[in-house]
Amino acid sequence: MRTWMLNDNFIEKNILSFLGMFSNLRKENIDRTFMSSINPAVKFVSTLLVILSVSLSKSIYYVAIVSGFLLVSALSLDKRSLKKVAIIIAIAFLFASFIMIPSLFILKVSNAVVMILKITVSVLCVNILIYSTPTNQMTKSLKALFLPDILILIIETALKHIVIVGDMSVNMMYALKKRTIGARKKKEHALWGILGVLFIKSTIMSDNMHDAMRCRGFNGDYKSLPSLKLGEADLVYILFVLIIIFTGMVL
Amino acid sequence: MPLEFFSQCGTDDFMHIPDNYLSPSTCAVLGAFMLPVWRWGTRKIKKEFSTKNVSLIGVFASFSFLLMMFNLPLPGGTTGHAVGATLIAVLIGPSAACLSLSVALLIQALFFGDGGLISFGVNAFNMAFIMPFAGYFIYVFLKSFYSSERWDRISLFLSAYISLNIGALLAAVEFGIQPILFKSLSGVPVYSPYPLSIAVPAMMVPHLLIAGFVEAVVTVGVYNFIKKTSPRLIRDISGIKLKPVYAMMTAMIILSPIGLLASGTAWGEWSNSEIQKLVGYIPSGMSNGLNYNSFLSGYTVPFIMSDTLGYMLSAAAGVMVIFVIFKVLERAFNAHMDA
Repeated sequence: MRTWMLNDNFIEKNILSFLGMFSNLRKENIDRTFMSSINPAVKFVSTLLVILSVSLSKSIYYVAIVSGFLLVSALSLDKRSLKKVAIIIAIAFLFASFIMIPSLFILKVSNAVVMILKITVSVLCVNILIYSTPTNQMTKSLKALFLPDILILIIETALKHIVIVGDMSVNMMYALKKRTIGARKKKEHALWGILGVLFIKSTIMSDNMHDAMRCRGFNGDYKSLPSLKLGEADLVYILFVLIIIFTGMVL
Repeated sequence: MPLEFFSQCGTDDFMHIPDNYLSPSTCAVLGAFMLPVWRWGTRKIKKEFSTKNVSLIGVFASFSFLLMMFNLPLPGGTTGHAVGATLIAVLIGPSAACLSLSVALLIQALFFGDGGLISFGVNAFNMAFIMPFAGYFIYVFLKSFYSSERWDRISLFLSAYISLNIGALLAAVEFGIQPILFKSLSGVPVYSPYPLSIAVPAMMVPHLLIAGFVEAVVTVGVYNFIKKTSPRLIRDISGIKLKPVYAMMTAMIILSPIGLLASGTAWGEWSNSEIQKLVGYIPSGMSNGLNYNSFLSGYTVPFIMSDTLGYMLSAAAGVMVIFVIFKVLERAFNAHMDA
């Protein structure tokens, strides 16, 4: 029997990745910092514009200026989030290097260094947004992109069910881990069972939710109202982002 | 750290294209293609009794998301993920699967930074549109040949395998066209620098050898479990019309002369001199070995002067050959089952 069939590391790995996912999704209250105090819709649109301007720029100096701005922004995150963002950036940097460095030797003429920087900067930009915005506010900020309300409702429904269905799957994986004694052939077959049960439970939950919506007289009209009030911090942030984008146009 | 990092890279991680690997214009074009698809989907939700679809798509977006998170053990101690596009399309229908997968991908990009924000349209096109629709219709097409439990599983396995590889091929082509389309004044590629000759094999080899099988095994495994434990949840596809598939095939045959616009030979169809140019030398086995001339060499039919017509006839002949092969397989399979 091959060794990979014997170890149950994948169950442990699944549990860990699910628990990590919960901690990301269950952040409703974030420590008050400069970045978290900025209106989520402003942050969301700014993130898109900064990534776009980095993507369009061909100047390494501009990418360096943006990374400086983002590093300062990242420093205003709380300590725990900062640590997580640092790990993600290190992984993104390694991954981009793994993909791009060979191009230096294969193609002789390459933009590997600029590409690695650009990719790392865009990952940093998105992660500052993610770690400074509570989950419920993030969905509302999508309204800034003129997303239909019904889609925002679907996204919110999906987020809530990810936590519920994810909880179920973690419990099933714990049960699988506790009840597995000794070596077992084709252990991954238990995963089909878990995923199959999740599908069946999802179908039941979808029907129950539909019934509940009908009972409450829901007719499909849903209004998502993001906060459009802008404070001093928002104005300062918008000013910096505008300077950054303008610099991108000049360089 | 690096070893741990690479062992944790899932097999579908390369399909979640992050920002800046592709040009914003590529992302905009494919995003613009997805806009009417989403618009049509949300209109359909509003038009039909909305709460049913809201709950269905919302809940199955969470299922799709979790399915993409499940790690599966692979030989060598690594783990891989499945996308599950064909599975979800077969279970809840391709349109609902398209919207559910789009929402799942948006959540991955927006809350987990998995796949870029600007490149979201590209990822949605590859994984939420092409994959579920391709997987679903290939499954319906294959299943129409023979109705047995075993053929059902084989059809599902093949459709999941093929649809994942179609998605991967699209991603590879999107990477590969970057250095052709986007270069600086000095000729240096601005985005992904690898041409098609590198991007396609780099993407396709792991997907053809590993990720495709992971996707197919997960799809068949979960489908079998649901079919055994809760058969009423399996959608009846016997009444599905294949006309759109045949229409698509016809369109592809008609559009095949577009290949004439491409310069150079198709990937993998290199002559010895081209191989020498690409690799630097001709492998000895190839220089003295088998010299294979295809049935319709150069995709032109000898007695037809027009290249365009020749291309179309070659494509039609190719489809016919595949059709005949499936018919022969079907007969052999029937004979085997009867015996």
